[in-house]
Amino acid sequence: MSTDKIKILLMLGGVAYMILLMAVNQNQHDDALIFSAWGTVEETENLVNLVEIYNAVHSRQKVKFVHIDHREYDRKILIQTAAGNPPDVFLLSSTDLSTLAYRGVLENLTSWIAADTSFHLSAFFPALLKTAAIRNHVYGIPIGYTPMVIYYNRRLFREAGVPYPDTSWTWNDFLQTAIKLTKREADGRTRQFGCMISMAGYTFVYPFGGHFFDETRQWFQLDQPKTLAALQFYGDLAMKYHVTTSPTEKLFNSDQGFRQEAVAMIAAGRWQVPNFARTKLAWGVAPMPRGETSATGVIVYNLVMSKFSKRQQQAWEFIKFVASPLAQQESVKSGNLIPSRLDIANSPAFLRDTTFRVDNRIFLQGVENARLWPLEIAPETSYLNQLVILNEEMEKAMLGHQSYADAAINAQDRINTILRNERQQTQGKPFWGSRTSYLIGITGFASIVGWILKSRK
Amino acid sequence: MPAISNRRKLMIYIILLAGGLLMVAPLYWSLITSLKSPAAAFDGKWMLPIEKIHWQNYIDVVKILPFGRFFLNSLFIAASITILQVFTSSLAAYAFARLRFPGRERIFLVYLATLMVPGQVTIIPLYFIIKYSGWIDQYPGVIFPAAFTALGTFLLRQFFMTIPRELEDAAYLDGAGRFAVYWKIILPLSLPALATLGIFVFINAWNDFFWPFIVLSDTQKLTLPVGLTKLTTAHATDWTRLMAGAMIALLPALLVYVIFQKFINKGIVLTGFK
Repeated sequence: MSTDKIKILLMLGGVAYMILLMAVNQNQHDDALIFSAWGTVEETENLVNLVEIYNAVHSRQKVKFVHIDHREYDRKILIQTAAGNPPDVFLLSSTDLSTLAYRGVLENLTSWIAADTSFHLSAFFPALLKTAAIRNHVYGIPIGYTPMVIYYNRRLFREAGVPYPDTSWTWNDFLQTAIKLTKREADGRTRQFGCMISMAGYTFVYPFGGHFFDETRQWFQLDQPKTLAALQFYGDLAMKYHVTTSPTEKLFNSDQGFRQEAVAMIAAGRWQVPNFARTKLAWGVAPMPRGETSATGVIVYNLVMSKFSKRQQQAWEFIKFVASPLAQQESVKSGNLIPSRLDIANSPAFLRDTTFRVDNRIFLQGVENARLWPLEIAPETSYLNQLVILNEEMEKAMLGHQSYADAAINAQDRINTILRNERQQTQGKPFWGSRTSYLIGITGFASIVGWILKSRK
Repeated sequence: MPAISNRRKLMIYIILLAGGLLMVAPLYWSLITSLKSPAAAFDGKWMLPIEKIHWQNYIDVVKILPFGRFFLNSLFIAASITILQVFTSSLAAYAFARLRFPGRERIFLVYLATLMVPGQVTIIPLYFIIKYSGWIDQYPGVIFPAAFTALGTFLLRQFFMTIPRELEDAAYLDGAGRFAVYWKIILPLSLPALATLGIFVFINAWNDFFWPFIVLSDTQKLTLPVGLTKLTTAHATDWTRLMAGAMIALLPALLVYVIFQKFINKGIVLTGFK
């Protein structure tokens, strides 16, 4: 063998060796129950602590925490599920739960709950449980939630001589306050916006007494007077009163605008509390203004079990542990969610907690009438699909290309078309895996091979 | 060739300078943000007094995340992919450029056609293969799928075809075999093309997010782009720390570019590939 060949073999051997060497560094918990969640290091710290507490007690079945980036969370879980390698238990927000349940990724927990006498759904806020159920089947156990609230800048309020919002304020008070807090330059440009609500805008629909679906809960419905009034109010904030950014003034998102003190009030969830606590801003929190109903938009964080988990019994035990009072006391320490259990949420320890300098009672208001934020969802499509369509139609209305009524009808028609098509498709046989698909595949492959061989002389 | 007048030259420099500034501005913004305190992240200031420099972001990033480990993982994965891809591409390119076998051109065309298949289509089948190879959450699961590419093969084939056959014929007359010709004639003459491909492969592998994100889960095995996502969340991002992490992550790719700039420029001229 020549020296060169030996060199190449050595080089390749070296690479193979390194790869194998690293591959030998196997996971210490190969048979561990996999628990996945998203979030920053600080946000997931409490979940990691819970896993450690659980592992200390359960020496036979260890749990391994695996972080997944929120931007590709669903995609990774779907790919893992398609390849038969899903996490056994994972955190899922209420906005994604119904879509993944519809796609057959989630285990129906109804029978697990019924069979377990040590687990009681009555310990949780009933309205939160509703967001994790599809046609009376429970797919997730809520471990925390966040309502939409108003964050306000105390300094800008004082500067404008406007009283801080309180629990009695209405949507009209909100509008009048936003008008007073909006400051303009001499050339007409806005220097400071009164408010910014972005996607939270659609939660106006609930307090205005509107809804997103018809009575059968089958079809999207926006063309009702109260829903239209809410959409009109949302549009008018930007286009009539100019107290918030218009579709052509996307200067910043609400978080950035608030931090730069370019926006006086924003609507956001509890996640901003630990974030704003790190800044030097003088900020406060108020509940959403009162409307015709006390319904409020919430995001619920659920623990779900994969339908394809090979350790379902252990997965159920772990879900029960994370939903237990002890675990909830631990997990709310991060400050970015509110307990889903009635006993922990109403405990003096939580209500009097001042770690983040906010009144926790504000976040409990309206939870009895909690509805999905930013809008209700049909499982056959994703909330993002619905939201994109609604945003597109609303933008056209705000820019004067159509009326708000037309925007509602167009959005409704587009979403219902998706639902209709999806329902028709699921009634028919799937194309992939059918005889026709195999025939087309084999014919295509044979044609390519034939084409290559034909060039042989 | 007519000389360019000074006035025209000045205009060209002004345009180039403006273009350069436009390219550097986002990078500069990231750097400045990485040196600000979280409270000042969005103060809109483009200059920072020395006394206000907030090095804590860099310290935090290294403390909060196993940054050194991410760095080594990225280096190992990117280096392995680069070595393997350049080697396999050069072998395949040599075969398509020089060896005569039935259906060569058409096989090459089919091979090239794989460039047209979007990555999304192959993700699940590829994940299956990785799973059945036992490489989920393992380095080979990230390295091997990237070890073979049609693009690298195409680029090197085009370059190999420009090398005069006479050089190879002379080697054959001296008794060299095919592999010796490939190793002793073709590769040494193709160093600029190999270096260019290597640099681009390294930078791509270094910055790659999606596939390592899908395959790797264990924090100790994550690459830098995947590890940095631990600083972002659904509704809020830790901008100052994220920018500090991004600045550190950027360094190796930047160094590769600065050191091998000559090869990159030459490679762009030779292959039209950027």
